[in-house]
Amino acid sequence: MAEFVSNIRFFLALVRMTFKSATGQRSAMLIRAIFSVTTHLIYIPVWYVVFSVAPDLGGWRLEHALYAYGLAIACWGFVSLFAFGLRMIPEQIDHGELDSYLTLPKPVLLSAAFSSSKNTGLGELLFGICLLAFCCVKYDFSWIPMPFFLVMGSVVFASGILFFATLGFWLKQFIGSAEEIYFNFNLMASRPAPIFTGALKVVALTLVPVSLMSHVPIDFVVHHHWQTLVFAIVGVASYSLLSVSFFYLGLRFYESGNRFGIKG
Amino acid sequence: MKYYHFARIAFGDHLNNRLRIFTRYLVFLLLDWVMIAMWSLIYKSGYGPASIYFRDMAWYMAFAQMMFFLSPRLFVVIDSDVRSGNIGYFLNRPIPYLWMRFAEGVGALAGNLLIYYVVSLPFIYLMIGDWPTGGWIAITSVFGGLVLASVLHLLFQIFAGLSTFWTNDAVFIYHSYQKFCLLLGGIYVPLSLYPSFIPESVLKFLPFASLVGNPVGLLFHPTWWGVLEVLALQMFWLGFVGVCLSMFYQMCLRKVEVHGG
Amino acid sequence: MSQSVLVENLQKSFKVRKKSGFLKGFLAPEYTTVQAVDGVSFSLKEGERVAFVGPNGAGKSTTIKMLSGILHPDSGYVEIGGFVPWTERKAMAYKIGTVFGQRSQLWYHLPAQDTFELLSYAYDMSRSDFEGRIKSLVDAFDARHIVAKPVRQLSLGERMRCEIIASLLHRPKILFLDEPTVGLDVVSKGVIRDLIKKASDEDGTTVLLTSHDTGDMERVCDRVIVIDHGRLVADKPIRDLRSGYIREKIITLAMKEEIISLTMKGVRLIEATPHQLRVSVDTSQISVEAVLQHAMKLSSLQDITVEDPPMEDIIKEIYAGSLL
Repeated sequence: MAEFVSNIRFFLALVRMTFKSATGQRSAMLIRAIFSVTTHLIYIPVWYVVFSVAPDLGGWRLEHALYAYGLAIACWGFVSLFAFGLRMIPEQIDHGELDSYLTLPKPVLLSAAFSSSKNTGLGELLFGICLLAFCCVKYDFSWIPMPFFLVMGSVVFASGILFFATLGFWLKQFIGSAEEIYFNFNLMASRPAPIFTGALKVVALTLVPVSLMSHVPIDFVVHHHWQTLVFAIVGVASYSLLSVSFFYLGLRFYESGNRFGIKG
Repeated sequence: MKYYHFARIAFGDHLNNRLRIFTRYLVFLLLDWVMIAMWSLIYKSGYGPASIYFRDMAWYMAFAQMMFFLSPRLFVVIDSDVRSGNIGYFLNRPIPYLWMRFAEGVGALAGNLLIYYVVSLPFIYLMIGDWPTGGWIAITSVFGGLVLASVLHLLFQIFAGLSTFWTNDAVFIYHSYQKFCLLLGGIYVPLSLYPSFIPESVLKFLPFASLVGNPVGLLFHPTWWGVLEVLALQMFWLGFVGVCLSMFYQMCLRKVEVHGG
Repeated sequence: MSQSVLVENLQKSFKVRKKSGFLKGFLAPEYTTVQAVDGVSFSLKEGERVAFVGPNGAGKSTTIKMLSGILHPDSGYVEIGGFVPWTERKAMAYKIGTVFGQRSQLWYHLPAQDTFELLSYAYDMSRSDFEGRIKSLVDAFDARHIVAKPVRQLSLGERMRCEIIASLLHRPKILFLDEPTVGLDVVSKGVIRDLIKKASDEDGTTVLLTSHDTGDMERVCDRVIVIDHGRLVADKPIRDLRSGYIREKIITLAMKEEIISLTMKGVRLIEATPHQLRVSVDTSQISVEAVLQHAMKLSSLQDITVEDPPMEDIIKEIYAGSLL
């Protein structure tokens, strides 16, 4: 229990530091926030074009696509703002930055995940929340589960990033490919749920669980099926556990030193 | 000649990173799968455009996604060079940094073309279950158009990479550019199906269409004239963007001199 | 003095991938094994300051990483302050401090004092303990003006001072330093060496330091362990090395005259080119000052450089068996 409390105190101090570091350059942060909001706005006409061709996709309409996009982009922003280190894990591995974390008496993952922040995240988080709020007002979606979905979606996305970033323990200079995976992971979360059928549905619920991030929340908003929500919570917990375990498996490889070989 | 050697080295280096190629290819296949599934649902729901067969639309979607995977992520390399100051060490070489990186990008692109063109056809066929109506002529036309499209994409990536001099982060500039491509390039929906208030002729003229919509659109009507038209417009944009890039690069060099890299 | 570090028959090998064809390398990669550390044994007493030296690829960083819990060995036994690094890493972390010269633990955009505060949470220090400790360290390191500046604005020497404060914050019993003076100028090197020594003297901290610079081991350490090809080559008090090899200094003189003859006892000519002379001075026979005074009488000196002999030369000599 004492260790848990100590880890929480360290975690809170880390988050304070990352936030302080990210907000240090306020003008840059503001410019990036405005820029990211502007570019994300572009996505709305993209969906408008798609739904002008097909107004109803297996029960999904424009409002569902916008809600899914709002969730996806808010989760992206949330993770970038508070746990950008997760996205940078392949680079941290390449540069041997985990060495210093391994000499601290705290979990390595905690330091690796929360030791950096990207200030574009604030704009993305706010834009996502505004889009969700717009859907709630315009299409009469319930406000109450929104914070819960944001947390759940962020945990799924963070776990997904962690899972794929962990491949960097074995694949050198993986950061570029990893960023592409994160981006497409997020992109897929905003695709209409009815297109995920058969094997694609299995993938969307397991290896790349975008369904847990956006499809299940939207299903709940529309149909209020509690069983689906409970299933999603169990799924999120299992996937997070799998990602963390995979990371520690990778860390064991790092500790074997075979990733780098002889340096001195 | 020296550009050829830079491209040749980059080609070998790129193909040597097998696991990275494999991982990126898996992402491409997954994205293809999702886009084909989306249009399959649209056709099943009765909203599929009567003028385009599903199999043609599915091949269009598969090739449209491919364009972004053919080019290496050059903007990441340039962004890193600028931020670390390493660009300064390249400037004293008897080859302009800009065109050196471009040559390397083309080398890696050649490696990707080899893999994606050869390996993708059976995979896409398996996902769709049929060949496009235009057959091999249509596929060859698209492949030809995608080569110049990828080169143009490389130039835009260099733009994004060099913007780090001002923004200190190329990623968000690149993502913005990518969003414009999604909106105006015809990646989700062919340009001919855009709402009527957006004139198709204007959309087709924009550089974003030369990246995806125009070359991949050859799949629907593979005529010699159509191919020439697409290639000519791509050449125009390559020239225009290339000249703008050279001027932008000169501005960047002045910034290096002022700030010492 | 009780034992602080115990290393027995430490072994570590790495698997290195062989180059092979495109498909074969992907489907069935082949590996060769390289022995990085091969049966190294030594022990350190509390408060001892030991230099751990060797040429590039000798296995020193690998060893120090195993001792600090970053890498796991293949076999052998290690005890650091009573803990086995690879099974009790977290408990051991409270007892050790680490400085990796080429890697920073400081937050780049924030003042170093913010990193210190974060580390105080990592080491579960109470606020009053942290405040008292940081005040005494900042005073001792004369760093009040630098800890408040963002790290990106610090010089390399100032940054290294902050790195050492960060590593000493939790009063570690053992301090591991991997190339702490790499890239520093002569003045900064001197400051860093003095600070490490002072901190060790005041708190009785055991120091294990790797370096390529003979000055580091000569001015900080009491003992030197030499490693090459993963094997322990020598384990000697520093004074033995001083009387053997570090006593030598290399002097390079640039003068107006085309050539001069510097014939003195204890002075050996290395190289003579027009307007430049490079000699080796045995400081046990003659002081550097005496040689320079004599040179000034003979010529109009334009530039003087005094250097320690390169580490590689010393290791080569030791390895040749002349000191064992």
